[in-house]
Amino acid sequence: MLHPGDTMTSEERLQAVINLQVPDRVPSCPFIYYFSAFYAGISVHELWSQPGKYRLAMDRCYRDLGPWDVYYPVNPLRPELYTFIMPMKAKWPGIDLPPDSICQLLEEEIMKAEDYRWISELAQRIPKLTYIPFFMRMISRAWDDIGEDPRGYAFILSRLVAHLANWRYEFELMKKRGVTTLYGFLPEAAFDTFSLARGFLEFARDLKKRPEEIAAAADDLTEGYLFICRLVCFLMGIKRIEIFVHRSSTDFISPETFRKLSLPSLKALVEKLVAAGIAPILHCDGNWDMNLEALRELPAGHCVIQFDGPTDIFLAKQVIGDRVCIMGDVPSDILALGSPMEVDEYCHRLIEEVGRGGGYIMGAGCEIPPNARAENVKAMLDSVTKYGYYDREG
Amino acid sequence: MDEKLVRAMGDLDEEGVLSSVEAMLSAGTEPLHIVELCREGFEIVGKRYETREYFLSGLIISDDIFENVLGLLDRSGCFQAVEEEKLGKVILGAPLGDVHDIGKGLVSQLLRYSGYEVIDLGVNVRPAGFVEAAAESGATVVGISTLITVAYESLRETVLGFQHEGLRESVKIMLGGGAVSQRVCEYAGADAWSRDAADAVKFTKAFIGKE
Repeated sequence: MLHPGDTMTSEERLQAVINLQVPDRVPSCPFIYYFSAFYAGISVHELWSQPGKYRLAMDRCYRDLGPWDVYYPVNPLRPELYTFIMPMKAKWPGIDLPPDSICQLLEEEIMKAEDYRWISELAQRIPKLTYIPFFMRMISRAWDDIGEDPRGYAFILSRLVAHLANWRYEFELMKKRGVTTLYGFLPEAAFDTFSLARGFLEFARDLKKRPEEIAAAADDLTEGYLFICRLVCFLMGIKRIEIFVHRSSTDFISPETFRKLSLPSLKALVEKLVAAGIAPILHCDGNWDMNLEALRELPAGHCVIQFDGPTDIFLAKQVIGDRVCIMGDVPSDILALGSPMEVDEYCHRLIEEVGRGGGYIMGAGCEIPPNARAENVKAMLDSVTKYGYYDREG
Repeated sequence: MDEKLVRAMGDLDEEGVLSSVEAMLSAGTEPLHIVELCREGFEIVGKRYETREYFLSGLIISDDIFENVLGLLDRSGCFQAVEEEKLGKVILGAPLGDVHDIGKGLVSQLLRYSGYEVIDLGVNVRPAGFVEAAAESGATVVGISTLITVAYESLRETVLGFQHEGLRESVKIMLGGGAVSQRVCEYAGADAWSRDAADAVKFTKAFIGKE
């Protein structure tokens, strides 16, 4: 047990909240990546390029600021693998940017309009294997030195295997200290993938000119997504998948577009994952207030939704709290500029309101910001033992 | 016909807009009048964006429609761009360390259609870049858009830069983007903030005092 008052392991606690049961206390899951480099005094370049230094940095955060219940792994072993999830060109610290910068994604068109049809054709031929050829095509356009050819495939797949082996090792280390891992793989939802790979300007035009092609291609990728999710879950020994949904909020598209073009393929994937015994964790960036009702269509008692701040998480609890577990959303600006007391107050409210009756995971609104104050991160993690025991609340 | 064009623009009905423009050109309507009607239609688009009837994708489409109208007018051979008097100058940019520019582009579009001259400095702009641009252009409003929290220091340094150069009193600074908040606005010492692009136009109108 992580804390003297605990009566459940971290894994039991996480499973309880996903199933909308009341655990012994609110679990904590900080999305820590860049912050660990700044906190441990290493460069971001070292963080992503040297797994040993990454582990030391995370270890230092855990020892000084933790413990936490759930490990949120986002560290790609190689930058090319980032494109295997989010098909965008990027600037990397230590390569294109100063070593202490954070990675920056570029809004450029790497997917062509004709690729929607190509995806659908591909899915006709090899429905379960669409993910890899699609992403290989995107990778070859994002990286000049990687081709869409056997050599390119060998390059990416060998690095993917090394990455997964590294993750598996890290997950075991976490497990030994009583920490469970949030997920085994983290794809971007198909609709949102197109938005990223097309660049939003072109994608907005696509929404007007070829909505049917977008919906069909997203739908046609479902089997391919399912196949790779199941495979990686099996390899990682974690039956949970994070699905990034970066571009379906009303920051980008209307609720009507979400319902018509984004939700169907997302829902299909979520339902198939649930049927396969895999719990989906949706990382919903942006404002989802107007889409909350639509999210009720997701299967009850199997999913987590993480909100990153713009969504009213307290409203979300009212609208979908009986259907999905909610995670988040300590705001970045409080973590970076606020005081521990302010963090404590906000976390207390989260636990009291969003955590009422279970179905809640304490976390930041998206990632712990790189420039978060360490004492604020600690206040956030401490709040689950200070306020989060259900038996103490009665 | 005027009302039809304004309504079509407001409804993002590209076909309706272009057919109206063609008909008006055939009837000898002044191209500048057509541009003015499109602008009226764009105001409807802006209002619908504010009331969350339209979203970012709709604004992008409205920009495309307007560009197509300008192309039609240009091809008609009877359109001579006339330099209109602008309501004021606004400098826009993403701060040092930030390369995101969708939000900034959107604000630029809204401001331009609202009659302001926009000087877009692009992304990754160092603090002195904003100060120098304002000093050179005489702009009285500066908008800085960021999506990353590590840019907070850069925002603060930018505001301090204006103070050091004695320009702080004459320049209003507004912050936008997903990483800003009241707390960030106070930390940086800026004058206004919003995560909503449409608010940039409201702030600018209030700062400059002209509509």
